[in-house]
Amino acid sequence: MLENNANPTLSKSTGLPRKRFYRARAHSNPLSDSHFPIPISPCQVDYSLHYPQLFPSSDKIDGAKKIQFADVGCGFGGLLISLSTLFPETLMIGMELRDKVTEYVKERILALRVANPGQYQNISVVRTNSMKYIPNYFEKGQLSKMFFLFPDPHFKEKNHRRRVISTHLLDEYAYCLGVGGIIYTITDVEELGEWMKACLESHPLFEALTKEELEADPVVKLLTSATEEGQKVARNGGQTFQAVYRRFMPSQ
Amino acid sequence: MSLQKLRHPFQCLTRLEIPGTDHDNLLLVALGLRVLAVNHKTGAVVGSWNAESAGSKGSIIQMNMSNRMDYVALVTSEDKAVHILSTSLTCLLLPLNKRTLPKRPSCIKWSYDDKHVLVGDKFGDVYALPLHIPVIPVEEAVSLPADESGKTAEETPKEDLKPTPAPDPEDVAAEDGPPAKRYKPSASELTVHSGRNRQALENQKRTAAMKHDQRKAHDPTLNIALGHVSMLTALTCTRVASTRATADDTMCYSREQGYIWSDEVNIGEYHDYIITADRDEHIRISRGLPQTHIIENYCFGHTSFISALCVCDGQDSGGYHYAGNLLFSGGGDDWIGVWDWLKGTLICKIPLDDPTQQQPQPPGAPDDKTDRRTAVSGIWQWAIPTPTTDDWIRIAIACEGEPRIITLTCTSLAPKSASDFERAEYKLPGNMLDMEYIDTETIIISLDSMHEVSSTETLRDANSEKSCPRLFLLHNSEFLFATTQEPDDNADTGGVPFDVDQKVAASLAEKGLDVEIEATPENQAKMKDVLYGIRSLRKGFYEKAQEPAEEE
Repeated sequence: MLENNANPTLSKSTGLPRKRFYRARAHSNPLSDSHFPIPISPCQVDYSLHYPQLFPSSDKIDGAKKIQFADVGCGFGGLLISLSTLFPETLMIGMELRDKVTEYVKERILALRVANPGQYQNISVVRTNSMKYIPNYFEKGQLSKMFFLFPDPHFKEKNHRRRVISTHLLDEYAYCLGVGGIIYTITDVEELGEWMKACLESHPLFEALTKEELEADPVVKLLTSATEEGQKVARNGGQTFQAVYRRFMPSQ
Repeated sequence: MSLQKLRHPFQCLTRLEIPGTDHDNLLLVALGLRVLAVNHKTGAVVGSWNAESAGSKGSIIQMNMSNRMDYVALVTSEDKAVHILSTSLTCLLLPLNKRTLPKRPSCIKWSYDDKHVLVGDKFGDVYALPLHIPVIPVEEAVSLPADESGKTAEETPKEDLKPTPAPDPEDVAAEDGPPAKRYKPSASELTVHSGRNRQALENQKRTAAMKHDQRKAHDPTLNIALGHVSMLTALTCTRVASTRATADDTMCYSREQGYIWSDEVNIGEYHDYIITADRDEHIRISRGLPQTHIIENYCFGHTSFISALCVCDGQDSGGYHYAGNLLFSGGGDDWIGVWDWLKGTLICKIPLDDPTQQQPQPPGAPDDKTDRRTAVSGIWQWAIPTPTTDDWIRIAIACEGEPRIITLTCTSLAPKSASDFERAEYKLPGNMLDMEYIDTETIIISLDSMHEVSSTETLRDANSEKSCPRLFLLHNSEFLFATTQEPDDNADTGGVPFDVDQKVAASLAEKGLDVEIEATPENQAKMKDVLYGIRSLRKGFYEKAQEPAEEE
């Protein structure tokens, strides 16, 4: 087999992993049982595994930096890599359910770290089911940005409960996001775009960003340009539907 | 050879007190589809209602009494319905209403103010069913205003009005999401690329148009309060007073300020909370209605499913009822978690089995493939501590398909470690199903009279001389602080523990209400489903028996 040779999965010219060795099924059922390790609680997330240069030992240091950005369903990691240089001081993590895709992103980050010493130390990826286990990774109010880019549309109405944005999951995202934290969603499926927007709009803990705020936010531009899915849509001349909302505290 | 007939056990029981009347010793028991009000002193049956009369099928699988003891809520298994019955003196066991849910309810609990019944289901949704079904004119129900009260009304019934594209009731649409509208395929000509996809899309559009007229509107009163992604397995709700009116140095919890001294907050303030647990090891603390979208925290630590939750209540010297900060949880782990639930911290883990004693292997055929790992099926607070009865916390625990009751006693209201708890165990003549405390000294236990001891499958031999009582009285003095005790072999011929069972059985027989079940394989499977569903929550339980589920 090819994979047994001297790492043919890495491109000879760039040293980056080649996607064709990490093909995976496009969809995965988020409701089925998981058989991979999950941290019991956020304090058991081992930062030294994810960010070895920034956290040389696995001992917990009080007041140490915590992960602030989460790319849920990060796919092949395009957004993480763009964000890494845009926010070099921020720790961020990609969460992906598909094993092979996670492996690819892992290899990609490692290769980038080797090729660019000192850079890309603030990004990592974890294989997990974020719909079930997101509170196991982040404490209350820990995150400042969450990304849901081109999520699985789950077309059938029967399967809508598998969608990563729903009224009830937004309760959990609102728990993980600090007040003022921003949730970014984008899709090329019009119906899903409407669904996500309607869920966010009707949720008592989220408010839409104004047009000016959207234009001023450098991250919004990355939603379409940085991700593999976004580039594919652009190639095919498709349309995208985005919804960007802020976690706020309603006066009670 | 004629088939054996076995006495049907009481699946659930709950206490009913109507103070100031001679109905202060009542117990509601579920017997198949029937709920009976029996006097546990005299054994007299004073009321009975059959869910069949409301069109229900299967068995009663859940029962919860309202906090004021004026209504009881029941769940029937096959038609997934929630019934509410009145339990007042003049209309004892009179049905008030019935609501059918899209999925089988797995847990049920009255909200602290008794205005809603909270129902958790297999899909992880928690419905808040109002006590009375609000009357919504048909016109209005179809075109409900999008969000008239602004952002505070997070869960309007609009979501339940979505069209159901499939005629099969099993295929009901997801309950959470944006408002209803005519079904439109999510894909468009821009999102599908291959010829076959395009053909499928056309088919979808055609059938959607056809089914649009046949759609069944969901019950608009089924409000969803919150949802887990995993199966909901336990649910409780509680009210925390911001202050206790006792000593000034009491610490109490304020939502805004955390733990503070009680003289710093306004007396009479309180907060409601809903505590939910799922099959994926989560215990979630959410605010009570109508702010259920606010998650206060999670209690992390379990490594297997959670199937029982119990918040310790107490009473202060002023007779004011308060919910303590202690939460007990159990499930597929071999320990009971003791939590300070408002902070989300684990105080200690208490091993279920006595570590100093070797657990004897439960008898059973060696080829019996059932999972024998312990699974907690219930945790109850034995009696509410009051200053006059000492500040004791007493907890009773049942494990599925096991003939024993475990109690934990703590002489302090603020335990620090597992060594603060005194563990005791009492062997029972049958598998423990449910329990209820009658007074501070006595509990009444419902036992499985059909199955062999320690088995969830093997039925008893009806001709055997030793039969198992369905109700069993247990006095505190009999085993508190004692270690494992064996039941007296001669006891089943009489004595206080068996008295109540014989009296109840006699008056049931007199009224022709008793239920006997033939020992056929179908009935055996059915009874296993009704009585024992907790061990199968363990991950991988079905893996060998079934094909991987949920594959398209």
